Amino acid sequence: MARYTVFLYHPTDQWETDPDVLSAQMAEHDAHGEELVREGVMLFGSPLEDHDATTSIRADSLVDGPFVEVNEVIVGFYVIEVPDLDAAIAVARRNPILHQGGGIELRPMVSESDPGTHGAVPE
Amino acid sequence: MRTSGAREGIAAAVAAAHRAHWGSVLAATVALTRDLDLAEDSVQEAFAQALTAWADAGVPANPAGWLATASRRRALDTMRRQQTLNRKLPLLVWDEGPPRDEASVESHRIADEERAVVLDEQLRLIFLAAHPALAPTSRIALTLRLVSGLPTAVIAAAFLVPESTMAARLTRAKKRIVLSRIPSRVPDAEEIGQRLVDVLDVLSVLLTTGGRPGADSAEDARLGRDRVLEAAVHTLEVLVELLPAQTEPRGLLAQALLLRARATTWTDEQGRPVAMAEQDRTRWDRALIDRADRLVVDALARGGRGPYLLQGAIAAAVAVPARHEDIDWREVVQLYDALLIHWPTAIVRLGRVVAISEAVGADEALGHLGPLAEELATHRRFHVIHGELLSRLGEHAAAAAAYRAALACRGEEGESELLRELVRRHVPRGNGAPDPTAS
Repeated sequence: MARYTVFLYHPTDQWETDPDVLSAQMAEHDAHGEELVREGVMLFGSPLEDHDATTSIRADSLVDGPFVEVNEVIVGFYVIEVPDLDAAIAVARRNPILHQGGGIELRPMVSESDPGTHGAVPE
Repeated sequence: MRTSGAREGIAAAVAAAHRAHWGSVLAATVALTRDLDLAEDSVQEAFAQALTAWADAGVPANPAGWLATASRRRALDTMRRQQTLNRKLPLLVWDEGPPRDEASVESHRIADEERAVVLDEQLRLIFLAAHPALAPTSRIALTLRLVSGLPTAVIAAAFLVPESTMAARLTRAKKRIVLSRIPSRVPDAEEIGQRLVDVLDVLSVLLTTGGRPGADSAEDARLGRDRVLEAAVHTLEVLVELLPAQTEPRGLLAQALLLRARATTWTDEQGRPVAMAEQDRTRWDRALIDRADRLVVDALARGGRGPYLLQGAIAAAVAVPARHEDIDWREVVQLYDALLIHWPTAIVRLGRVVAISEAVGADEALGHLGPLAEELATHRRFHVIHGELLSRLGEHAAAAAAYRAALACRGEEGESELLRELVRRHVPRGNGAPDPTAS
């Protein structure tokens, strides 16, 4: 078996603003997630909070918002559970990628009880 | 029968309470609501309520306590009403961990229990507003709102942006705090040093913005800057009181007090800047200068050597002597040397050049100025200092060229007027073509 990470993208200037349409769309994702968990295909998934809530970390700086360079690609991901952003930053700063020339983007996930969260982080 | 004079007295008392206590009343309310917007609305209502309540029953002995109680009561009412409604946003993270600095908190509590709790909470908001995960512009706006209670329109005017832009910035910053779960807490001993630097960096920008002299055409921009300066000074007073072991806030507070003490002599009646050697020192506020001096001396005696303290020490060394001739410029040069260890920037070096010109001479100073030319090519003050040094050495044509270069850089109109005059004075007489900038 092989593991794959699936990242979802959406243009920031085309957010759905109609709450009814939006909740219908979320229900669609929720049903899809449940289906994948039932099939045993998905291990864990969660919607991410608003893009504005991103914190970027480099070896020597902290930035409000994403600052991915065009030549940077996502090379991995993991989910952590900590009380707040200070604790999350403290954990993320220990990642060796920071002294290997890389960077980290911290993006809060929605609360576990919100729609769209499925599965559990595998041991 | 109540006279209109009494009504004005009440309004003035409420306004004074707003300036002095907004931050602590909001902090006490946020501790209850964990919701910044709800807390702000409740504080607003409490101040409105004070206008009528104080007119009927008189100004209470403890206005801050009265306002905090009124505001928390309003917030509770709203929370009860909204209990059935679904919350869209999660609550603010209010770290309940025990304060690390038990000893100092404890002594506050013994002295004045009610007040100590509120002060501790106010400190949380000061650190929250300047959190390093927030964009620098957000930190500035949030500090003025959450700590000082400045209206959006006033903040916008001071920073010369449209009110809608500032409103959006504040909304986004508050949303960001909640969504990212930026915690509201007093940093522990290990990190308080760095977190305090973040707070002082914000307050330093507020001092620069608020203290910027100049005949700004817009009245609301000038009033906005006054409020910003006042807010920065008040926040520094709170920090000095609540963090007595920290010397850096004392250094920045000293700078703020000196800025205020000398505010009346920056510019002449036409709005043109006055050189420090020519400013009338008898018009400076001696009480403020003495207080600033005590803050600096005391913080240095405690072993403080941080950059904001050193900057404060430089400002005090220059402002404290009764006569300009009595300034100990060698001491100022030494303070700049120490400051360069923290901030090895061209701007700090430029300040050091001025001190060297007074301590040693214009010739020596010119040698130190040269290496900064490239980096400060578009910096007006660099060219002004260059012109002054050349003028002192009798190199009038070169001085005129430096003043022209200064005119080509951005700056206050009052200063431009002065520079045009300096160019006229330094252009040799009767040597043919008139200087176009001189007419």
